[in-house]
Amino acid sequence: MYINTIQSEEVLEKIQANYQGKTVVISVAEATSISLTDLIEALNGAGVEFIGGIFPKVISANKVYDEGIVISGFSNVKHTFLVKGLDGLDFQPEAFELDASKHFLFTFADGLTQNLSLYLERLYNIYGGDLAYFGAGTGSLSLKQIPSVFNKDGVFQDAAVGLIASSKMALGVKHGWQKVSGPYIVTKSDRNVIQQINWQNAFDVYKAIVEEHGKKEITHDNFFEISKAYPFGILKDSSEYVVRDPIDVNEKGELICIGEVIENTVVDILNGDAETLINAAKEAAKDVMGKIENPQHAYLSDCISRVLFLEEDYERELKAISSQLNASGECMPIEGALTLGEISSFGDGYLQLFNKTVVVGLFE
Amino acid sequence: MDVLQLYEFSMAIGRSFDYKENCNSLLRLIMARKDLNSCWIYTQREGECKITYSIPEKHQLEVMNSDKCIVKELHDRGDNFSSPITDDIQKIAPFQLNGGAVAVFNLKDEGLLFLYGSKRDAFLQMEINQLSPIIEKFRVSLEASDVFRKREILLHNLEKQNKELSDYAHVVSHDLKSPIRNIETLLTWVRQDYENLIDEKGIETFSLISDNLERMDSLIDGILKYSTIDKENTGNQTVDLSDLLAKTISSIKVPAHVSIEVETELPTIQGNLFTLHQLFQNLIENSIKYSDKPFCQIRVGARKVEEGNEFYVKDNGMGIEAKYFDKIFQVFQSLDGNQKSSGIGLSVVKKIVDSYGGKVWLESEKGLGTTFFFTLPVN
Repeated sequence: MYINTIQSEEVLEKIQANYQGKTVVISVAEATSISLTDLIEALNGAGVEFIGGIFPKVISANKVYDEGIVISGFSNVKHTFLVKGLDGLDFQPEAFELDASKHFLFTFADGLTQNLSLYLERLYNIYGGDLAYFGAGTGSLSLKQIPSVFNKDGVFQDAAVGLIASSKMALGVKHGWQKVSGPYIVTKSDRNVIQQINWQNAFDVYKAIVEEHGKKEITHDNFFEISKAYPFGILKDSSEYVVRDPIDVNEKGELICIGEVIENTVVDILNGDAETLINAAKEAAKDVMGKIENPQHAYLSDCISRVLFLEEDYERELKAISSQLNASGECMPIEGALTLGEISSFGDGYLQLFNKTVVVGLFE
Repeated sequence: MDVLQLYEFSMAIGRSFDYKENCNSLLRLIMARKDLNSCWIYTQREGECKITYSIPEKHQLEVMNSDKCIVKELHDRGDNFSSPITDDIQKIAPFQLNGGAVAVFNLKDEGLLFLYGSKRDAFLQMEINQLSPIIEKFRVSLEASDVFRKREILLHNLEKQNKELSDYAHVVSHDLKSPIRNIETLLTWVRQDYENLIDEKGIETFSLISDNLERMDSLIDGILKYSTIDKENTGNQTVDLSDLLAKTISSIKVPAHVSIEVETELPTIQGNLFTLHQLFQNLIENSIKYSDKPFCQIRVGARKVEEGNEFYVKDNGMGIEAKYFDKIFQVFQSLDGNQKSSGIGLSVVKKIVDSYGGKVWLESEKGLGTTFFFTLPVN
């Protein structure tokens, strides 16, 4: 459900009217003027269980909104949680005891925090393949870190919130980017900063490849304009690349990505066009169809840089997804957010952070 | 599998001596790149079959006794192989496996590594063959982690014991000194108060008591010095040993019948002033103490050797029998029953030389004299 209001009471009324007995996930577009402190107070006062995140934009049906709130309701939620201190190493997600039934874990995590990958590692370390995982990186389009996740205790930076529900979820994960050059070795890196590629300055190597392919000059000033079309792809066995998005270059010629690229990772340089990306989104939606018996709603975690790349074509991506999900003539609510990093396992495999990817979650 | 992926895996091996971090570095990468669900290692440690690493971490901690033989059987095969999830594999798995297959790698003394993929019918033999040398290298790094862990435990225990010993020596020394001083004082009072009542034999006995008290005091000083000398040996500086030796000699009470000659120029080295002074002082005092000739000659000198500098302190004293050459460097070992010798001086010498990474030894002939040699390496 999409609402554009600055009145906390109005949000509360909608939740009480539509999501009785459910835990709600609140996705807020960063330009929304509502006071989160007031909203949290109102929800706490009414005893509403909730978690939430702030995103560059939110999605409802086939539209993208710069302002407003998207509310999604989840049944059979057994636990909600908050993990703080993701900028350090001492955080530890709580290990809840789960019964033998199928569960999924839904999480929003600060997309620009230092140890996002470590957070995902630690989650997987606790629950392993017993759960299906779905999530999104929160934050601002300015790529300046802000407090961007919230729950009943407040709004937090360098933190993650989540819920664990005892019901089924189906996952579709695709991006559609294709190799244009590679492989290369990231010979020196520090978390999300690529310092060297093939033992040479990272920007020098990247610039040479991208300029040769795109026939356009790439400089420090126009970096993101060009780089949004040339992400890195980490090679994997038998599945699509894990994409890393270079969003900036610093004065030392180091490339700053969303998400960790560990030293000695083998990468290709990728490129795509509107058709391959939209087709991939359609495939992701197709992948979830028929996997659960009684789907109630879908949530999309779609990378903000896909919108920046696709521009006017992005609505076609949303339409492609919704036409797949509603192929049988139903009118399934499709909501979501444009995110800074997408979180998912490939089915029940290892939990990972993706960039420039669309993750479709279909929930019972 | 791309050869560069093998490169990526091999570069993730041995990035830490810590067992868990070492496992994390490689096994998380393999899981991520191959979309696996979990992995675990069984190790036979201290007679028990234990899971020493797993992703996820939450698992049944122990293999049931009845299932140990399954682990042993798999280990005894000695090879790396793929297996579907049989009843036996499920029995020894630390968590519920939902179909799929495991790749089992033999880590020899480090146990067995299992990689589990729920979506696989099997791991191809080709894939096992490609991973085998990587896992073999990983096994060697696990052995190194094990050695490192044992060394850390040993060092920790050693540090603890050293501290306890040092604390003990301090307590004993300080607590014993006080009653000794009290006895000495009381003894003096008794001698003064009952001067007229004590006969010559009594005075002689008092004298013996005083000598023994003095010896005990000297022993306690020795214990304290021995237990703390290594703590003094911190903070190196440039030391001109010719200058240091001259100062050391002038600080020693040299009897009239003793002459000390410095035969060569001594080098300038990096060292600790206090311990180097103590080293020369103890050796020279030892020569003085055991001089039995009307004219005692002590000669000191040095020469360059391959590993650094070699020094000697030579005397024409009573000499030492070869059978005592090792014993004299042990604490409280005094050969002649000399009441004033604490038997600690040469132990301190050895401790100082050891702390510099040098060697100390002697050449001696009974009745003719002794030469103590020691080396101090350059670094």
